Amino acid sequence: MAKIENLSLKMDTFQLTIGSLSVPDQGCTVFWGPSGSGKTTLFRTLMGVYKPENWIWDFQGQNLAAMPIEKRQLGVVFQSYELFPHLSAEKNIALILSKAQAQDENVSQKIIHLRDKLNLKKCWATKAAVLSGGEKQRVALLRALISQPRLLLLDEPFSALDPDLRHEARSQVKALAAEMNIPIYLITHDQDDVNQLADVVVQMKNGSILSVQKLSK
Amino acid sequence: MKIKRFIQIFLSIYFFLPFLLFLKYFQPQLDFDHQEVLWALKNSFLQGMVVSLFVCVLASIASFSLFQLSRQVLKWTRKLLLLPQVLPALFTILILFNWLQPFPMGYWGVVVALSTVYVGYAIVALHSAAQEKMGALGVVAEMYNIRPLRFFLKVYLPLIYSDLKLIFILVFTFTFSSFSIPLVVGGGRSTNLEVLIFEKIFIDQNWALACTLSLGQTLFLGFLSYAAFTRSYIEKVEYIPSNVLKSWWGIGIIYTYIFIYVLGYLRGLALSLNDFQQIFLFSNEIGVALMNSLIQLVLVLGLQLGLLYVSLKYYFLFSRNHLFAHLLSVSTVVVGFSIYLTFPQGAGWDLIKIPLAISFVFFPPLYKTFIEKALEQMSSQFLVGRIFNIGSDQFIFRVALPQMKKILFLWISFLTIYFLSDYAVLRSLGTQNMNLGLLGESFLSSYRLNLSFIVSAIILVTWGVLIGLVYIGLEFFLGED
Repeated sequence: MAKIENLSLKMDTFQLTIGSLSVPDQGCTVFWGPSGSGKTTLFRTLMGVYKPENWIWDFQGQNLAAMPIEKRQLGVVFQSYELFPHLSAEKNIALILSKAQAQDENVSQKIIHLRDKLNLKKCWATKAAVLSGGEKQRVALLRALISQPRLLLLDEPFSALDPDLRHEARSQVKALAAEMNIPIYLITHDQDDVNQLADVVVQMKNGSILSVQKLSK
Repeated sequence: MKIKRFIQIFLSIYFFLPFLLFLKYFQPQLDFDHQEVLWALKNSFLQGMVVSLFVCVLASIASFSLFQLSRQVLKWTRKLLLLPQVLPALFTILILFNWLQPFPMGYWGVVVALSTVYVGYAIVALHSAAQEKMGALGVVAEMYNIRPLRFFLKVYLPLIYSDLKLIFILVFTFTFSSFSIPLVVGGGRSTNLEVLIFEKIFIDQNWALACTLSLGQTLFLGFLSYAAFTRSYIEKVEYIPSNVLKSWWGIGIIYTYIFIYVLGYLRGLALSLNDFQQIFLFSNEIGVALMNSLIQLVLVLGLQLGLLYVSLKYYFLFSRNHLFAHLLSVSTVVVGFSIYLTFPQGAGWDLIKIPLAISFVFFPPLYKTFIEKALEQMSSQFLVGRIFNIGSDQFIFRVALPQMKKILFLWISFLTIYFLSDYAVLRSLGTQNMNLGLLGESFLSSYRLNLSFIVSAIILVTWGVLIGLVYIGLEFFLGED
């Protein structure tokens, strides 16, 4: 189990408070709640953008709260995907690889495997700025997966997609994370995300945890 | 971690260096000629108030009228309106000298020249701010048959009130601390506080009083620029065109202003060509000045690019840059004086003193104008860079700079024209090498208006060639990945 303890963060008129929260460190945990419930604040805190004092995030035996952003080893997909717009899909991926990774044949194979699975072959050389919403989402997912993350941290990654595409996108995320054995924390307000992906639902309201519920599928 | 700390300390100290050097000579001196100081202070204050008020009134009316122009006409009009801001003070002074003969040297001369510099900028800034807030209010006014004048008074002015206040403070700050224009058109002694400080240093050699006055002025300017930029963010709304937003008075103001500026310059240049043969008398001086300008420019740009690199690195590491955000209007005289005192005199030392001084005076405001916004727009990309552990250099050269090509081009262009035409910073440094800006000003001060016009044309041509080369260079180094 992963544990978040003693998290208290005040932002102007908003306060996020999590005294103690235990959630699995595998499968998909969905943080679900309406606007203003504190999901985004929690997402940014987990990512390392906000730095509250004296809190603990024990994940697989390591306190990630004490680490700077670059050491947390998180695979993040933002709501707006945040690809580098002037680079092609391929170069967006290449940029995050270390020198050793870039020369590693296994990593190249893995990228090709994921690229084909995510149906990105056709737009591989296309600049991110002109990719469709679905393509951007898949490139962002590939980037997150290939960074060898200990955890996939997703912030409303399906909200910018057409409703028709969302179902397929969720299936892809779930299948690839399971295949690579990477746990997921998903931040969302969409009940369909919960229904399709969640193993555990953490319900949030007004900056606090309302309930933690394990779903049987 | 060491680099992070080093960069933080370096940037924290670098831009405050002139003030630190200055404090070394600080001895409070209160037994000075109070009348002289009060006179200069009164001039600075009144000039600031009159110019800001005049600029804000004209800009309110004229910015309202810009809404009635078609997209293409608006685009060009905005560009022309910004010309007096793009081209340095030397050009404005030449144009006004050309139209107003005899020119009202002194208080009113300073007011007229500074107003000419800032009106266009204020019109464009107000129009942009209004456009972001206007949304469909004009259409609503049309539906309810609200007349343009009523809309202007009851809706437009209240809507842009906070922006108007900001522009007032900005123009007041720039005017209060202006040096280049009062130095030339101020007429008698002690035209404003900045010129008084200059005179205390270079004429009276009263450094203690100069330090006392500068400290007071610097604190006041720091307070003003802090007040100007502590504003909350307002979300943009899409502007929907409407016929209510129109004013023929405003259109009249805008095109008269552009006419005075553009035609004033062309007319002055055409008239100066009558004396073109005189240029051969001064060909040696002009050649040396051009050469010096080019050599100095290479060093100026080199240092500024180095500072930009360090600033980008800082932004990458700290996700923000607030170190010199409020150094909006650095006193030219404080910078010049602190460097003048620190370095030995001699032509060779100019090559160190000039790039340093130009970086202190121009880097913070140009960073604020061009770079800061671009970085804010890319802030989430910087975050992604850190999350995925991309090296800072790799990020700067492969992600940040290629996306900032246009901004970099503008930044370098402004820096180039400002430097080529500058005489104020160089005068306050007490430099010994003549360059184009100084030459233009010295012709102007010795009533050789036509020669000064010709030098200004040489500056423009040199600038054109250089920014062409900069464009090619940027395309080459930061071209499509």
